[in-house]
Amino acid sequence: MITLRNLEKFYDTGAGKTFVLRNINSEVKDGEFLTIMGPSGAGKSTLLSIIGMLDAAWQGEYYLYDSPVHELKSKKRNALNKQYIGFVFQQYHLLDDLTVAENLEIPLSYRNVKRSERQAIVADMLDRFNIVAKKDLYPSQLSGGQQQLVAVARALVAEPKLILADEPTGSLHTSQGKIIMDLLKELNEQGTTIIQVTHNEAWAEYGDRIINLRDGWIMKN
Amino acid sequence: MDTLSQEFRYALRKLVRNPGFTAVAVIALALGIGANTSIFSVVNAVLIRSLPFDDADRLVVLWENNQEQGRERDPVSPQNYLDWRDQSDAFEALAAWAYWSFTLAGVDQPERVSTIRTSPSLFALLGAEAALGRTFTAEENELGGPNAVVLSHGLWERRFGSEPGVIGSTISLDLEPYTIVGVMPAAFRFPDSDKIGMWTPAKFSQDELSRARRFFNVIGRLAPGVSLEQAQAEMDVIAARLGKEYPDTNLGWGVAMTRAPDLLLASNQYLLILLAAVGLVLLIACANVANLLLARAADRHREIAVRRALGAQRFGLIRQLLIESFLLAGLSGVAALVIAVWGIDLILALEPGNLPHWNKVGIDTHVLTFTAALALLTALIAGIVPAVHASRPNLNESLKEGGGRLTAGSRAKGARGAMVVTQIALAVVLLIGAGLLIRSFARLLDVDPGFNPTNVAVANIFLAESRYPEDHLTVAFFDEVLDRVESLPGVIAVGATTTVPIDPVGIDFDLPFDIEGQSPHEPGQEPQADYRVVTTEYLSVMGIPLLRGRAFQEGDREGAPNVMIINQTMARRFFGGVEPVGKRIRIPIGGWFEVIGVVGDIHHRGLDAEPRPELYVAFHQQPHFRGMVVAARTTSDPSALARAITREVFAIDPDQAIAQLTTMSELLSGSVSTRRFNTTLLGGFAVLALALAVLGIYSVVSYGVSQRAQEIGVRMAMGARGDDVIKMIVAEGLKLAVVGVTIGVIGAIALTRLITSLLYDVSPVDPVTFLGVSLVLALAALVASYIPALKATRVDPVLALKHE
Ligand SMILES: Nc1ncnc2c1ncn2[C@@H]1O[C@H](COP(=O)(O)OP(=O)(O)O)[C@@H](O)[C@H]1O
Ligand SMILES: [Mg+2]
Repeated sequence: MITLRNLEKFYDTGAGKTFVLRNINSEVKDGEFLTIMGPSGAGKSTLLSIIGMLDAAWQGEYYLYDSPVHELKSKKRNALNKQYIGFVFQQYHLLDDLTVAENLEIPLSYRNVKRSERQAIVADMLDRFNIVAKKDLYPSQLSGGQQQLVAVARALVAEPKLILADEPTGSLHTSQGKIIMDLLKELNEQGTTIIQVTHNEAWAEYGDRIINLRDGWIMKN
Repeated sequence: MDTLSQEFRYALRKLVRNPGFTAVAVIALALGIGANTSIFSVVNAVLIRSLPFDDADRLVVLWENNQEQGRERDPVSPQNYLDWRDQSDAFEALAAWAYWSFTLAGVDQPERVSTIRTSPSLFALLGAEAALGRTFTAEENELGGPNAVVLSHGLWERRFGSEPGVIGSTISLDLEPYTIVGVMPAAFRFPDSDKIGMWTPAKFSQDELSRARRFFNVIGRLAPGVSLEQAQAEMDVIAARLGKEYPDTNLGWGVAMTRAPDLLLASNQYLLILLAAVGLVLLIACANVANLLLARAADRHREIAVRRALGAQRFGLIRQLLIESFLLAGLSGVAALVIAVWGIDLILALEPGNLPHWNKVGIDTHVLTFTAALALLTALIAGIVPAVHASRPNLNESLKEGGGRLTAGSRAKGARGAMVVTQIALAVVLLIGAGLLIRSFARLLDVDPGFNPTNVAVANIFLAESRYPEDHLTVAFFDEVLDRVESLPGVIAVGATTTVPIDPVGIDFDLPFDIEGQSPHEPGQEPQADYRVVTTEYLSVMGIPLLRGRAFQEGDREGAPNVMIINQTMARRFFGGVEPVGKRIRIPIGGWFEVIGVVGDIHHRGLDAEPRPELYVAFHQQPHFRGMVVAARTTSDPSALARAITREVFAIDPDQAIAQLTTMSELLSGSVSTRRFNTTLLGGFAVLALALAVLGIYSVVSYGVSQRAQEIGVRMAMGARGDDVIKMIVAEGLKLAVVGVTIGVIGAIALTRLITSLLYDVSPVDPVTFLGVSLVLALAALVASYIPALKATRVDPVLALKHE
């Protein structure tokens, strides 16, 4: 699904280049559940941003299926993002002015889905995640675990093939974290490819494979 | 006290540390206050300081009125005035006065001097005394009594070198000797113009004492303790009695009166409208500053939360925040005075010269007080909402959160939105007002005056009775002037009349008439038409088209049958489809005339005045007036002719002054100058309002963008593209604009009625203007939010989603 070759990213800090990612070569297969680990500042989030096409300033080659992302203009990248990718963040990043249902609708609103269909999809999703009762609540009225549940639902609503989860349990208690991890595992079993970042050894075990990043390098285990 | 001065220093430091914020706020407020100060200084001069008389509240202006004839405020006949004076008790004094003019000769060039003929009582009534010498005695007002004149301070300086010895000396007015008995103080002005050079006793002639000749103005001073209503009641009784005694002239005539200050206010209402308009501009500026303060208060959320947690009282916080806005307003007030100095210059440059007392327009203690009060008010208006807002942050949230959370400012966001909506609504009201005036002005300029004003020079000449006592002398003089002017290079044709259109100077009155074959009217019930005496060429010189019959000819002179030309309105209104040419008309001056032609209507009293019935008679048959206006059509710029005409008149009679030399185009442009002035100023204020409102939209939307970086990042991660972000941000600006425009339009529907008197041929709810302004604002809002929207697309989602 994903092939990375000699992927590099650096910041020009004036005093010279500061590399954040170096010589990243990797492959992610369809249906895989990949865990990225590493100390803070290692470049994990940066790598997810690049894979998720939020970050366009890097060198090297990145193929998503047959598309050479490194050669694509921002319009095409945006299209790929929409077609394949869903994000889950450590801080949930739900929009506080929108209700649960409205938050779920955001990805659909950027994907030419008719209003009536959107309602149906959102209703489906609420049902599937068992949060129908919460649909008119605002994020601030939910617990952290519930918010992350909504965030995962939102990441799924446009049926992405790949979910990028950056420390999805980082702000949650263990019991709540387990619910989210079980959910990701279930999604993976249903066919969704997942790349997660985590510091937690137990959660890392949910994945098929672990990549260790250190100072921008992939460490071989 | 100690804490106050400390808070003051603290506020000052805050302002100095945020020079950008301080500069923008001060500029916005200074523009608003400065514009207000400028207009107020005009209002101050024209409405407040222009009645510099003791107890001006007791001054009353009186007219004769006649309900049946639809005459609301006619001047007063001298004989009626005398009866009023003798029979009433409500007034401490009454005075009659009229505009006049004399040729002052014997000192340098002869000069036509604007003069007021007045009863001697005027000066005491106004509480005015001569600066030098005295005012008039009763004897000097007697017919046959000595000729006396009082000079204005200005004329005394200009023509007599401020020589105190002029008192008692004799000067020549219209070739008659007059003794200078006094000079008025420099500050004295009556009626309201510093163009008045002299006052002479009214000295009613036998002729003028007819009750039918209503042409004097009357002013009175109410006796102490007498109300306007009591005076009115008394005058009603007197008028009714006069009506019974002299039914021929007085039946149906009553007395109208108004306090002088009210009259002044009514005739200068547009100044109050301008003041209101500029007040709206200031409100918009206040809203701008309030917005800046709100935005800043949001940034200071945590500081304030900490202060409250440390025990600060809410009132103390509000005071601290208000001190800042008072400082801002103080700085703005000072800057506003600088702006006002320019503003006043600009207004005076735009001002057509119709404003009474324009030379008193300036910054005085009234204006300073006004500005200071306005600055204080501004501080309150702009500061109170942000201060109250900032003083009650949600303690928990602000201390807990890492700043920049989406909810932190949602209440303040509502307040900011409300400010912008207010700004837009106010700007819409102003723009619609200005739009209506502009459309009125355009309509007015589109009016066909009925004559051709291009390349026509006009010269008003009034001959002195003592040198031209006989009609034939007048005829000889004007014939020679016409001959000489006609032979000047560049002159195509020349004519003369008693009054040219548009010009307020001239001999202009209406006469009752009867049409042969129609049943005669009761005396006093006859139809009226404006009376004009014209030379043979005059109508063609002015380009007034002959519609039927023939024009005047050389043969229409003394001895030949009396002939008359009437205008279209007169033909239509009084001949009911019958051919007027060939019919005969009788008027009090000259008896029966045969109608030989019908000419087109002209807008004699201004482009906005409907044509009235007008009749023209031939100068050589009716040479009764020593005041005529010579009009010359030229091949090129007619103002170049002025000096040549002066020279020719001087060659005929070196003692003869020309009262006024101008061109028809100038007269026409002068007649719309007050409208132009109003339109320009209101237009300027509206543009300023629009600019401030756009600034308001821009700052709120871009502040919103900076607050929503995280949200924008989330949306981008969810697949939003640049276009989506732009649409979202612009929609927010447009939403504010739509609400603001809607409120503004409703406000304008309610308010534009107040300017109906300034409109011409445009409805106060003119849909074109309303629609146009709404579109302009929508467009402005689009542009104002597009720029921050573009900025929003440059949000880096990676940065926006990063958490620290
Ligand atoms: N704008 C930037 N300029 C310079 N260095 C940056 C910038 N943003 C991130 N970095 C650096 O990139 C490195 C990787 O960051 P990140 O991908 O967030 O690490 P991780 O998610 O593994 O903790 C860090 O060392 C960080 O300091
Ligand atoms: Mg990270």
